[in-house]
Amino acid sequence: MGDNILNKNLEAMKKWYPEFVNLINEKLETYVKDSGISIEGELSWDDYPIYTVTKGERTLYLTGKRNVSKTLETWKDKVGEVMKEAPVILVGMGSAVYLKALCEWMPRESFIVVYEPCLDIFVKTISEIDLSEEISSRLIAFVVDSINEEELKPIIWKLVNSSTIQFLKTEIHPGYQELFGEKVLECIRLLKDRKDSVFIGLNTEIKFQNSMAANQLINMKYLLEGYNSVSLTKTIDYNKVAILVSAGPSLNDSLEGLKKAKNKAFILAVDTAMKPLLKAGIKPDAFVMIDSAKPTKLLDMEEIRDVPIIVPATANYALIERQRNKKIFYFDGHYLAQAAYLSAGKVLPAAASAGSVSTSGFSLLYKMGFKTVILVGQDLAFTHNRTHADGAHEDKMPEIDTTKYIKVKGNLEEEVPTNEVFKSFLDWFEDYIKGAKEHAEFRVINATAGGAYIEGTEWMDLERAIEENCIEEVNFEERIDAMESDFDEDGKEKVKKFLKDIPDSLKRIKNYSVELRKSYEKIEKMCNNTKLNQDNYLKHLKKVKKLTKKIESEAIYGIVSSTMALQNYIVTSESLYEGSDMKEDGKAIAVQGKNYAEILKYCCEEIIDLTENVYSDL
Amino acid sequence: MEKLATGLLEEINKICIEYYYFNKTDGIKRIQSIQPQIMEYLEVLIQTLQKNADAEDTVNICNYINGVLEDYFEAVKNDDIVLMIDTVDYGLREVLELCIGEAD
Repeated sequence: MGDNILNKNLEAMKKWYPEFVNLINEKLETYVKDSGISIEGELSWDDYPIYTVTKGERTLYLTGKRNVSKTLETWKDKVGEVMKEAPVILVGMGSAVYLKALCEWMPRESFIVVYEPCLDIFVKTISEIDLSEEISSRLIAFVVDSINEEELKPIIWKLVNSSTIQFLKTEIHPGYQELFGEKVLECIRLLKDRKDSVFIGLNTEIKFQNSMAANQLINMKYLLEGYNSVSLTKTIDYNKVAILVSAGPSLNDSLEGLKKAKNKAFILAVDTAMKPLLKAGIKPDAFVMIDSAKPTKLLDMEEIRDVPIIVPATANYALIERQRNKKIFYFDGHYLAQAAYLSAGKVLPAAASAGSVSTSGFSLLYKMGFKTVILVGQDLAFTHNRTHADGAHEDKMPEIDTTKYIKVKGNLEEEVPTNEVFKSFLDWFEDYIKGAKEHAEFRVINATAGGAYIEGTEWMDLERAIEENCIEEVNFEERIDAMESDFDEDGKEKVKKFLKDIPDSLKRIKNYSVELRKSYEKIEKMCNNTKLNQDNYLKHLKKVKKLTKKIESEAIYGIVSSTMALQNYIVTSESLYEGSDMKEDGKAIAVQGKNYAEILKYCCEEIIDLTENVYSDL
Repeated sequence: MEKLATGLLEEINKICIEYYYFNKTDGIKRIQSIQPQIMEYLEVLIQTLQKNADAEDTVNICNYINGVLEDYFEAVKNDDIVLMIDTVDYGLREVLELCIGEAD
């Protein structure tokens, strides 16, 4: 009987994920029960299959034995309404009573992820409990320890985004926290990390929405000069050693040592490290800035204006326009700059970001082909209980209370205090270095005098790092001065033409948005009638789709959309609320659509004036 | 006795609601803190049944109470919140409700 049920369940799973079924079969061939736990099945008083699990001296019930039906009703009440396409994560499968209950009352379009930290429970359940109907009628992703646990993070990352985050439900099966606490905690931490990163992204987007749009549009004038990170690489013609200088609190201890690296390694500083460096008499070869709303006070030193700046098009134009030296661009995912390059038949080279100037700088150096990168001031922690180096934000940075902060392994200390944001950047460095090393010969020396340990780096005293690695003398300043534009005259003309077309592109989007609104109004009117004419309704939905496609194909749409970040979030998240039938759905779509079209028109109008002014003298 | 039963039920309701809706897992300690009152109630109940109830009913109810107590002490021994909540919400509750509403 066990084999029969097992086969039925595996057949049902094959429909969705045959690879997972192969993995299960492979596992079952050599499967031996974990001697550390034993699982007994019984029937509850109301005939539900339930398990008790014995681990060590304890025997725990995973489900109560008296009235499972009532318990499930209470649980359903607690979980609340599950929206269509919202993700539900069930940590622990048990005897599948909770999973079956979910499948009964959740919309079919919702995604269920079952993370089972105990292989023995998974094997017992799929061998004894018939889940074939549930599995074949909807998508349930199983992530099982010792089979495919590495998929948990990618699945969570994919399912949890700005549209779904407020509808996400996570439920931990009773008994699992006590029995498999570490693994449950790991899963919850992954979820928390993902939610935090979504919120950081959304908050960043909302915070910078308006300045980003203005920056991109105004910075196009400087992009036209044609300097980018690939032309920089070709110009300096050197890829041995680069030093990335960040503004962590330990930078102060490294300033003397760094002087010996001048003209012996390519020194790239993050913007906040510029003041401490220049005050110590160290002029980096370039500095990187990504912040779209960077306060000018942080870079208000005259000497900074003579250092080449490397930026994405979204960086603060007010600071870029002050620079007297080269303005070197790279592609950070905001399309307008890339579209401008493509109009001249060129490609703007990309670098990863992860939201911090240090991660951007690091990615740039890797993309520029440097074989060795030395990190200085990359604390990612509150070394000496300070947030930054002296001189970065204030002449003397104050101490802060870090007693309640999370702790991570340190370079020089056993543990150092850090916070969620720094920890997310630390994780980024570790993942990036791991990936980079798989693709190329790449060495990262961490010469930060303190701070958090970064997996994949070798810690080395800065003096020794420079002595052993920074040998060849190169005059980077001279080479950068001689850097040529990536655009020839013809290319420049093409980019100018592209930019001058932007106001017209915005006017086109504005006109489409007016038509879009009219279509949504018609849909709303149709759905308010007693009888809905389905053909007409679908015809107008098709028109809406066509107009939306036209709008989104305009290169400037990305800018307009970025100014609507908060509104977009509200509209896309509201799309998960559903009405009870097609008419109700249609009304909801129409209301959202009208709002969207209205906001789109308004944003276009705001930007048209700016672009007409900025590009009129090109 | 009704007053005792009502008081115990209120406490059990609070513990169960906090477990089900807020994932609070301190229920075992809280129930143990009212164990003396639970035992007092059960003792008086059994004595009352022995005096007034039909012999068969008394035996059935006493067997039921034994089952509840067995599960209760097993839950305490294993620190098993799932079994404890199940025992008090669906087991002990029924025993307490025997004496509520008698005066009506």
